[in-house]
Amino acid sequence: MSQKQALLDVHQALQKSFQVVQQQERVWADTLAVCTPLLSSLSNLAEQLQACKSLTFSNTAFRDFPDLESRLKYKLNRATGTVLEKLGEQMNVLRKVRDTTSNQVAACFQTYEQHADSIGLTLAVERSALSPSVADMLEWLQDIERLYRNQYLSRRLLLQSISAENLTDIHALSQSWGRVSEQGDPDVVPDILLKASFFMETRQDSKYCKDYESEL
Amino acid sequence: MARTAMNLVPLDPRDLGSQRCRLGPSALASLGVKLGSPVQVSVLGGSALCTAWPRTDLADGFLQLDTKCATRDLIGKPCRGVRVNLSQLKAVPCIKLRAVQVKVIVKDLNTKKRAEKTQLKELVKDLLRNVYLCPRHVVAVTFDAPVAFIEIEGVEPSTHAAGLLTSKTAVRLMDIITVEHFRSIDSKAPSLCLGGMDNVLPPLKEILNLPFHYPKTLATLGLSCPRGVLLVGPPGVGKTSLVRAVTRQVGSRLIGISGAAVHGARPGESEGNLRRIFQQARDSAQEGPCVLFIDEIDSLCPRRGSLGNAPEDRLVAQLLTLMDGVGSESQLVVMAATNRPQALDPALRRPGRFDREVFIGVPTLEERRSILETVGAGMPLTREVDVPWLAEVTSGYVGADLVALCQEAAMQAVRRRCQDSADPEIRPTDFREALRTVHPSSLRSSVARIDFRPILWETIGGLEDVKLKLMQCIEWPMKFPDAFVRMGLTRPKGILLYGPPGCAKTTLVRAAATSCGCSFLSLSGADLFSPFVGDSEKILAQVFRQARAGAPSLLFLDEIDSILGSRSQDAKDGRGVHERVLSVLLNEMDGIGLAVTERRGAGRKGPLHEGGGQLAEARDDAKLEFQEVCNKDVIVVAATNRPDLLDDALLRPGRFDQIVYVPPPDENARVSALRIFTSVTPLGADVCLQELARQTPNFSGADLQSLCKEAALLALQESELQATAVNRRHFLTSLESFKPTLTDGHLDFYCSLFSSKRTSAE
Repeated sequence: MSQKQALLDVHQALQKSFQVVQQQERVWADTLAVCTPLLSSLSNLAEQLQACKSLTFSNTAFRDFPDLESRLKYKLNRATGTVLEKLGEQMNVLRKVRDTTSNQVAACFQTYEQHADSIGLTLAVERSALSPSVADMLEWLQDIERLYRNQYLSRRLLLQSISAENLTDIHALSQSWGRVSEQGDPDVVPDILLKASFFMETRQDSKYCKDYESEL
Repeated sequence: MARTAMNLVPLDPRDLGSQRCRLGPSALASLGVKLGSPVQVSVLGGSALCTAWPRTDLADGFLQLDTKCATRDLIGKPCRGVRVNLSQLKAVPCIKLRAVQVKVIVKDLNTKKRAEKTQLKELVKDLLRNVYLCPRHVVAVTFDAPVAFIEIEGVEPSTHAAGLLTSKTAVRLMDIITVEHFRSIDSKAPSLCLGGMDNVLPPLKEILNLPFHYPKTLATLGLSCPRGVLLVGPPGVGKTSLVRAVTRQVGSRLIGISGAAVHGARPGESEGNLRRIFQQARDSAQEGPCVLFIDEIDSLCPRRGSLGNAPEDRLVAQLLTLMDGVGSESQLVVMAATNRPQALDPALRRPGRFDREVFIGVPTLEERRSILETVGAGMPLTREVDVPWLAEVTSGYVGADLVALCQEAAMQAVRRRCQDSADPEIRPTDFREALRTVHPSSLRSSVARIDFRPILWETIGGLEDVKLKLMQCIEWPMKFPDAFVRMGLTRPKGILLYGPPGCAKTTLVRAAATSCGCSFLSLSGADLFSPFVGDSEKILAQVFRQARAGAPSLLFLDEIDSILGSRSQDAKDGRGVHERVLSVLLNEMDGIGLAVTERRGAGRKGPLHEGGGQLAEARDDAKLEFQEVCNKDVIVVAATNRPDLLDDALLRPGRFDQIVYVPPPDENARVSALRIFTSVTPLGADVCLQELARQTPNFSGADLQSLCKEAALLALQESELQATAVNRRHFLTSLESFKPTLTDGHLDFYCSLFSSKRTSAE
């Protein structure tokens, strides 16, 4: 297999990966956006539960309603459960994003491994005006995958650590959640996509050029 | 041409946790690796497993390293500032792992207690995804998680190559420990070598090891190992180093308290601090053996009620209660060190609290040799440095002094090197210089320390038989101990030099001290007497204690008749203190035994060699043993002009064995004395020393010296400070006006004293 052809194959794989990443990034951002109101409602519920627990109902005007306390608590707990379930669903979506990205990156790496000998090291690190080097792009993909993995893990650990008894933790959950997003560099993925955007566009154009060349 | 040496520079913050190592393209080409393939980098005493990537600026000659998966030594070490050779990098193949055994290191004790095994396994699997692993490496977790590190203990299939975790790999949790415990067990730290502690180290190791390794055996036997160990000894002897060495060898954790750190300003704060530290120790003892070391416990725990100091007493009571709580179910051992065991509260020293007491005394000759060998092992010594000789001359030196001595010798070598740029090897001359600066700490605060200019036997003219007697008593037991043991002789305890004033008694003692090289203590009346009742006795007893600690030593009591009285001769009241000092001296010289805290060495060792062995070394060691046997004691040398004033009890054999009369010099002796005194004076050609000696009968040494001075002054006076030589007539002129101090009456008195002592002995 000629060097040029091998390089072309790798570039195609990279391009496909970047497209997938672009889609997944949108899904990721959307999911996180959905999570935020859920978290605020969760902290709200937690606050209400806390207030409920600290109040002795028999001292207030509600003493005429005998089972108000238990019913209120039951309702609040059920609402908390629902919100947590929804959060769980969002976590599933995030997990799917992570898995898709991982698989794509792994496939890309595999393609590179197959063609690595034909391409050679010098060509792999060569950058041109039209495209970044293969090494750079592989590195970016790895970084993105690592970011998704770490962030998903952190969030999952956060959700696992809270429980219905520990209300103060729930209260602080939204802050901790925000902190996770700030972990590392929050703009990593958009930056990388920006850097690779020119590459993606030129590849698409040159695909037509190649077809044209082969026709000639 | 690719440069093979690279500078190690810090990592890009973007690369943290990526397990990448960034190399230049030519380095990558020489290694022959593809992008992202695993590479083992050995640097800074450890090794890290990373994936090879090109540098972003594609520059050669630099290396950046991410220590996500590295050996224990590299954790926490900043990877920078070293030059790395290409040979230190090795490409390793990669395989998929079937199973991996890990040890999880969590952030705190609560996580460890609450952790669920399955959840933890899932977490570990997620953390180790896409990470290249290698056995005995530690994976660091870079983001916020309850798990701080994961140590890979083993992999299947077992290999030295890099392994990759897949979804099908089985993860087995072998152990969960906390970060503090992990950091404290530094298994690769160099074990502290301590010389001279062979008798003390094994029992301590046993105390720590047995409950950890054989808990069931101990439980069935109904034994409970001692929970507290008290180390007692003079300062600088190695108590704190011993504890550190033992904990490192056993691999247990060491928590230290010092008395000053515990005390707080508010009432009750110190007790709270103490409780907190004990709780911390108990917590960490649940994971493995732990030692709580209390240094200088006499400051923390003095006798209760001695000063009526209520806060102190409360602190002592708190410590006693806490020590009672150290039960045998936890693996906590409390060790304490002190210099002053008599200041400790006695309630602390009973079984159940500090069961074992270990005395570490001033090192004996063997121990000193061992310490010197240990300390000198890491230093570049030339072959001429004679360690046994060093061990002999450093009597009274403790471990800290010996270390200071070696360091001072090294400094001398460095100073010498600055002047001539040769290799800094330490020579015997460096040690001799160092010996002049570093003095034994046990004698440093002594009242009786004196600096004297060394004198050789040759500078004292005549008095051959006196010199011989002194040599026999002082030098021979040290130089030929085997002969003494063979003949069943022991060292004489005391020597009394008496004679007319000015006859070189003090000089003789100085010469003896110079030649034998033992520690020299000198006490005079001014040092001894103090206005407080009981002080003089204390000072004398202290001086004797220090002399024993620095044995073999020479204690010189000059003008002893002024220090001590005689009980039989005067019954006046004003002499009370003299009698008391006399009784102290009599007891010390011939007393009943050593105090328990003054023990040195720990009994005879077993056979020194296990069969075979070089004969010469065996003889050398045997010689050292002989020296140990003979040199335990202190020699008291006294000088006086009035031996008749001394108490009879002093003059009996067993105390002052040898009573030596130092006569005024005879003619030959006068000649040699004159020669010595005029060695720096320019003499005229007509001066004949023999004639002068003939003309000066009954002159003592001091008289002769004074005569020479007079003659020189006269010469200066006559020539109005222009003289260059002293002539014969100057001597004769000064002789006319000079009267000897000794008369025949004096000499008869001494001789009769001598003979009367003889008759009284017969």
